[in-house]
Amino acid sequence: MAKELATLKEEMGGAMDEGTQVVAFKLRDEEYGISILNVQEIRNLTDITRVPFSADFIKGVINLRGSVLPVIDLKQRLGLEQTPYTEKTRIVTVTVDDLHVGMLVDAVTEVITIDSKPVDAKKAVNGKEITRFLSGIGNMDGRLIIMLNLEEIIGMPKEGK
Amino acid sequence: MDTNQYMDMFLDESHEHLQQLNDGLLSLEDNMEDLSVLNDIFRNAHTLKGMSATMGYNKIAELTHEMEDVLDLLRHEQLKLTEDIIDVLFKCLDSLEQMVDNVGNGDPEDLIDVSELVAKLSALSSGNPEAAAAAPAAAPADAAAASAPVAIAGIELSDLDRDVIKQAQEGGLRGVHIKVTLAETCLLKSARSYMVMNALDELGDVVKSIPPAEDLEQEKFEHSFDVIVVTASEEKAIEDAIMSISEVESALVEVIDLDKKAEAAAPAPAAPKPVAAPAPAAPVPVQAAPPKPAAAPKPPVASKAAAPAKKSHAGQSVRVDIEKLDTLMNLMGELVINKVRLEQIGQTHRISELTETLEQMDRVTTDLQNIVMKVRMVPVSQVFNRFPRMVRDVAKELNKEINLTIEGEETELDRTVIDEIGDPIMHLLRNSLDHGVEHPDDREAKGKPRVGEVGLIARHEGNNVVIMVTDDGAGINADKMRRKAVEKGMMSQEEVDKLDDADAVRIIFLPGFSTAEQISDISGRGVGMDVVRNKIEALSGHVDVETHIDEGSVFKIKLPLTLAIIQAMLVKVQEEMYAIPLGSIDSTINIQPDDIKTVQNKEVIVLRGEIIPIIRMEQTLQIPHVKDFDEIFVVVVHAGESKAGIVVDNLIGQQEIVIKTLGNLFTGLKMFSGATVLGDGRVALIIDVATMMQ
Repeated sequence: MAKELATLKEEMGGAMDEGTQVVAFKLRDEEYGISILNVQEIRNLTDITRVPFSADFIKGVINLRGSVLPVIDLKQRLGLEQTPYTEKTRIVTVTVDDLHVGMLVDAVTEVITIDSKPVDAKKAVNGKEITRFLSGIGNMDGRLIIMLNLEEIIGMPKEGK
Repeated sequence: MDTNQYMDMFLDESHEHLQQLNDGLLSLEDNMEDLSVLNDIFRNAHTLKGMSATMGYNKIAELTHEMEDVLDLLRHEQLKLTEDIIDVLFKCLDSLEQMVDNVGNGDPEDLIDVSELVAKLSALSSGNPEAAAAAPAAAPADAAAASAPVAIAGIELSDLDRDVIKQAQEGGLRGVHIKVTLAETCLLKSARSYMVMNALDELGDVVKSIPPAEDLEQEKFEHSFDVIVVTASEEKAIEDAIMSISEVESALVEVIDLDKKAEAAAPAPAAPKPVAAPAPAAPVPVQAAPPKPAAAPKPPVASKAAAPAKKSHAGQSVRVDIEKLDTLMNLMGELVINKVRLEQIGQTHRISELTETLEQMDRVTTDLQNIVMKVRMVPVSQVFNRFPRMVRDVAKELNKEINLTIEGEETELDRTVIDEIGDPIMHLLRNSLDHGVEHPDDREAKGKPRVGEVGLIARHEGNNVVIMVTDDGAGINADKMRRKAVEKGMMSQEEVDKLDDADAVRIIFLPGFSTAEQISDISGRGVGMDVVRNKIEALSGHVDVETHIDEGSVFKIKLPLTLAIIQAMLVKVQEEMYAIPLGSIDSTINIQPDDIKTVQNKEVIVLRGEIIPIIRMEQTLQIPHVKDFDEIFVVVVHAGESKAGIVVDNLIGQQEIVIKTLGNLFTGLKMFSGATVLGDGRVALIIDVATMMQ
């Protein structure tokens, strides 16, 4: 699935296709989205076991029905300012190229379908380093949804490419 | 006939017989006088021949047949056993092994040219006048058989069948032809025929049946079928055994006289069946057989014993895809986690009924877990078996005299580990033979026995299995290692000067290091010990070396017993929980803060006269400090020969944990060998003690 998505994105010049179903969530005041095809489930915050010596943005590991799942703090990964966890904080578990990861987000808003063609992120956010994590920006009647490039965020270079 | 369904069994058993042949030849080489070994070897070769011919692998059958001829002469002392003969026989084994492997890989068996070996063997056997006489005598008979298959009372005998019967007659057995007729009213013909075959199997070896066994199973016959059996039993006994099975109408038993029937090939088929009444020429071959009473009584017993053993082996084992075992193991892990969780719920809520049920469940899961683990365990003999032969060959090549001792081959290891350790051990052995043990003359000059001792030892050590390759050779010279390392530009002079002798010797495990003065065929091609080390470490194992000049070296491989479930001690440091594998723990002690002393600014404790450096986990793992503790707990751990005390705040207890990998996101994080899910659903990291001590 992830691969299909990748090729699809390539055809569209790095932007998401129109009519993609997206899981939208909040990081601070901004709204972000990832393709629903990558999302496995959304969980409440549970105990996270810290893993010493790992990268800063990796918060640790959790127990996902008996298996061990790494959890990353998305805000930290995107270089956004930290805010404390609230009762709305969720762990969105995603799968990218056989890699399972949980991502901490401030709140999950909804699953929406983006019908208009998303804008290329590089045009919108001028040359900032963080653009490598973004794949496009969807405009829903003035509501901006920033689409994330999961491969970059999880930081595992794709093999064979 | 369709032999595919028997393929696995054929391969398994062929390998078994080849291994036995190998062992037999090795012990024969040690003691050339021991003719009882020859009998075993002969029997193995014979069985192999029968099996391969049944499966239609004629080249294998041909080669084993020639081997058998030579072996037969040997065991009747008509041919003198020499080293040359043993070498040829070993070569035959190699070819046979390759052919069997080819067959297993779906290749044709004749990829290997055995004609030279066959020629050599027949030269050996024909070097004897009797054999020379026997060969031409057999040839015409074969030729005759080929042009017009010999038929005995309506049953056609192939060359091979004749051969088997002939062999049996030489062993004091007889070939017997039995015609079984079932009652017309019999409904379950296949079941009855199966019972008959079973009964015959107990009395002797079934050579063939007409129609073949599958057809019998599928009831592809009218009401009667023919069986040829090699047996020591009397006709009457056979008849009684068959007649005791219900719905059998009649059983006609007739002893096969090969010579007679061969001559009377033509009239035989015409012979009306009922006339072939019990026991016409029976006494003749029976009395012809035992002119060598000493040898005769033995083979029948052995062959009878061998046949049922073979059967039960095939019936009791099942081949399972290793992936299925892995899945089973994973599910087992989940079950253990949930069991522990339930136990904690039971404890918190003090529900006695639940606790009782859980105790039952605990027993069942423990048993289940043990069995699942055992299913994956294989004795190391599977790997060790091939080394005596290898050591012999290498020693010959190097003109060294070596005595290989193997100990603890019954030690069991996880299947996945077994598959991987063969090559590293082989490399260590070759290294010991090539670089360790000196030439016999040099040894003599040093006042050592000419024969070098090489040992291969496996044993349990806690939760690990230790495999040692020892030799009593020259040992490894630490200074030479230092010099080489500098010469090869691997290290600077200052660096090597800092190394103590033990560490200098460990240079051998660094990439690109090979001490051989000249590159030999055996080892020292630069791809040496570092490959061994990588392989072992990939299996979460550890390899080390200990050496004494002129006394020898010991290479020690330490491997985890299993890679899935271990016993661990749970410890708490501030608010964080960690698991320390019990296999690395020596003891735990409770000390006061002022028991910690310093030696050269390093913190140590003194435990039973031993000075042990301590590691404060809170600092090492940068654990956030929340509160102070009055008491200090020290977990004394060891890795290899060195010890350390890990300081923790609290000991939670000993528990069975399921090791889960941390995943790709944490590659390069060597401090933890994995993580585990605790009873309360939280995750605890498992400390890799060896890394923490560095």
